[in-house]
Amino acid sequence: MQNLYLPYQMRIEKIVEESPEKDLKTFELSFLDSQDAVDCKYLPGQFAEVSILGIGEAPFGIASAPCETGLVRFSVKKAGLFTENLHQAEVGDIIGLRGPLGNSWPLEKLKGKDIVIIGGGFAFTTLRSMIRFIIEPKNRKDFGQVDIVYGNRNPGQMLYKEELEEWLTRKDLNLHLTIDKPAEGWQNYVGFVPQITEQVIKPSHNAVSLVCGPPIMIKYTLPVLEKLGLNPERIYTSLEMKMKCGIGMCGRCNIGSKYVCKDGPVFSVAELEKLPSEY
Amino acid sequence: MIVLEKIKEKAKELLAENKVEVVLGFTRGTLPGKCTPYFARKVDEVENFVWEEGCNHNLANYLTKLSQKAAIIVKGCDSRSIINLIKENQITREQVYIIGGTCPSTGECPDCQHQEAVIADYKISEGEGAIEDSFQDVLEFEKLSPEARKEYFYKEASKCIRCYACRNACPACYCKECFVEENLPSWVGKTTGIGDNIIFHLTRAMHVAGRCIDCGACVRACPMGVNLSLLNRKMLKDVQEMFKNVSGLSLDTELALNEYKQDDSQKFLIGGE
Amino acid sequence: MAKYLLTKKDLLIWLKKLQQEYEVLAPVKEKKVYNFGHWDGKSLPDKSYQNTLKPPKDLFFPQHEILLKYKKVKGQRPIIKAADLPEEKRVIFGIRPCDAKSLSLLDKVFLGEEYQDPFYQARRLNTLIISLVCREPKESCFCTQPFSVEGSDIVLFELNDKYLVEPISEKGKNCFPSASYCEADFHIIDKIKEIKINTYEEIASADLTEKLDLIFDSPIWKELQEKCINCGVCSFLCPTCHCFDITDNQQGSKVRNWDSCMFSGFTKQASGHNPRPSGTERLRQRVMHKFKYFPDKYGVVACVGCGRCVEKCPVNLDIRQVLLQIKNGGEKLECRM
Repeated sequence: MQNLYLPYQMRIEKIVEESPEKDLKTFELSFLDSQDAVDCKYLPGQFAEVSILGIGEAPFGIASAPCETGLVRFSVKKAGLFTENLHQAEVGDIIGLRGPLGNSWPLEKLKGKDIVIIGGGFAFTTLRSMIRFIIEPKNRKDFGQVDIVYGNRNPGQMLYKEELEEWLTRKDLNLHLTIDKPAEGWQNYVGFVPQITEQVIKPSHNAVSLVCGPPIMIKYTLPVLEKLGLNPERIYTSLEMKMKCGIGMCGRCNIGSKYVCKDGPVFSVAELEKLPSEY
Repeated sequence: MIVLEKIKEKAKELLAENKVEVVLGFTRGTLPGKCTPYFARKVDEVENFVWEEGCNHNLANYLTKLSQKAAIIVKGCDSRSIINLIKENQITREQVYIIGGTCPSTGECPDCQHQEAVIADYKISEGEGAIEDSFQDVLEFEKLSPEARKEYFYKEASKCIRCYACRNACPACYCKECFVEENLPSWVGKTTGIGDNIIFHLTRAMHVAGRCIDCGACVRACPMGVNLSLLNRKMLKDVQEMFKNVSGLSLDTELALNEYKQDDSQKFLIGGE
Repeated sequence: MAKYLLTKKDLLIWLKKLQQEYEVLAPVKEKKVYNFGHWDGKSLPDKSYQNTLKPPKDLFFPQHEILLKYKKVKGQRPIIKAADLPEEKRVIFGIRPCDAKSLSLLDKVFLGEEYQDPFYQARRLNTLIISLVCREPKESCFCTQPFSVEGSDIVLFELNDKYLVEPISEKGKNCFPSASYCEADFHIIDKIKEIKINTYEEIASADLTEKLDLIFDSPIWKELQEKCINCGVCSFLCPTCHCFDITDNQQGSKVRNWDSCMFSGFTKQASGHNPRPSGTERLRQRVMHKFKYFPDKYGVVACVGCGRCVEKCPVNLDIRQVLLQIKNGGEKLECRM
């Protein structure tokens, strides 16, 4: 019997300070035991419990993609006790990882489809994983056109700035970056995500959309997507709830009969419409 | 007119004339001997009130959660808790209409000193008045050796399952966030190990010292039979002796530990006089 | 299934024999209250035994349990070890059928298809459940299946001074030397009918689940919870409530503790956002979890009618009344005083 609560041991290889406010860091982790890297197979959209001994555990969406072998990446905003401690970690420190947990973006349902990705703020992590997965040469042919809208309050809050620069030049995806208010030197869109989405996205009849961001952004983006012709079965989003076990036992992350940790975190809007609005 | 009829008559009047929106009292429970808190909002609901053995929960507990103008049917302890809540600015005197009576449920509290409401807008009965607390139980307990006293409290605390019924039933425990819920970082462990349990109960006892009115709600609420009475009553006796103060008897005197006086007793300090 | 007739003496001899191999736990009385404890090898629960104060869940899912132990070594990788799995072989004797059934419900949570909790699993595998059918229900009981064999390896019926023993599971059959005893004939088995059962109709029926589907946003929850003081008595004494918290302590362990959906911190997020900010949402969650979400997931309600929450609620917020009120839209439980 394998102990479900035993984490993989991970070494922090790299820490990227993502924002000038210094409240957002990306951690690149490698497996201390090479067998763990083989066992820990994940898909875009899944999450893991990251742990610091003596402090605790917290769930984070996996920001790296399965094709980036040997490393796992998380982007973490400083919000509470755990994240504050994680932000104090240094390269070389050893932390724990338990996972992967939860379902993933619906890869099977995305095959052969045009993909519309809408992200906001620091919740862009698992969307980044999905995009990275799609543009991997051996996967790219499985998907149609890829349109992305990614918005933030200001340019500094953009995650993965270097990578975004590169993506802006790519021919195999259309990336639209936006910020809430004009800022000096900003050469992309200005406006809220729903508004820019309405402007730039022209979904085809077979498009599927993946949406992730702050609740207020999701609230105003969903009607836009529906107006653009995407029905609730073709819009997916990823939810956050307080979690502990991550395996559907500890009982706290349910929305109606669904456990976000096990039945989610990815749900279609059609599924969410059937659940009570208690999240 | 019997007491219950007087309660009903007053409650009906208050609701009918829109003087209050809700009347808090008791109705009969679902198990023999039990009564349960009842919130009457319509005149005809008033008929469900009872005033009998089993009406022992401290209803003042609900006042801090109600936003409506309320009337409350009180016995001695509830009325004393109300006084403390007003003095600690948790409720206002204007917000609550007090229907005061003599406790109908003293079966479990044979030594009760204040059966009769000490504050009321309308009195439904005249009781005997207060009796001096002899603290016989505490005096006996104080004679025990420190080890024996420790053993007693450890035994009681070891039964605790940390359901917090004692805290939640206590009108003096109105903190929006209790120290046990502090988790950034945690102030006290969540286990039922004796260390965590003792810290919980002793800290709570210290926090309600000078405000506890010995209503016994904590003891009655406990499903495991943890008896905190001696702990609370020792605090009560100390406050009474050191500060010449009995809480919950008057709106005019300050709660003992809520004010500082130059000549306060310092006996509670190690080496203090 | 075959039932065997044992005298009290036979029963004691058999239990003593089991005690050579197993730690036998039985209802032990202390200050008028029964809880499971080490069996003294001679006494059997008397007429005053109705049920234990604490449910049996803590024998499988203790209130506090170490999951991992770790040691941090400066400059080196930490040593992290899974806590040892419990190995003790146990018999739980005298558990009531409602509580035995609760174990089969906990199995659905802890022994799922995808994930199995190793500690719970080890204890379940190492434990033999011998249940004892009630002679009469308590005032607070509302089970509708007093003869349920679910979750039991062996079921016992008390008939005056004799016992009917019915092995249920393979594990139970292997532990009971049926060849040494007489099979009971139907005259004797018929006496089971003399056992008093409570008069509750099934409160948690299919139409309740249907009704719950419709009333998530109803004002009834606010009304129902008004007197609730949001303590954890009902969930901690419930044999099927299984929610827990996982934390690291300063002594080098990752531990789990029982938690309760009635507590405000249960769903409060690091950002301060709380999807269930008040008692109304929390009481609704508890009722919904038991009578709607659990049935949706596992096809059965997460309540066995043991009545502990009814008996011990500090404000007599009676779940039977709550369910009837939901079902009948306002009608209250008749007072039984």
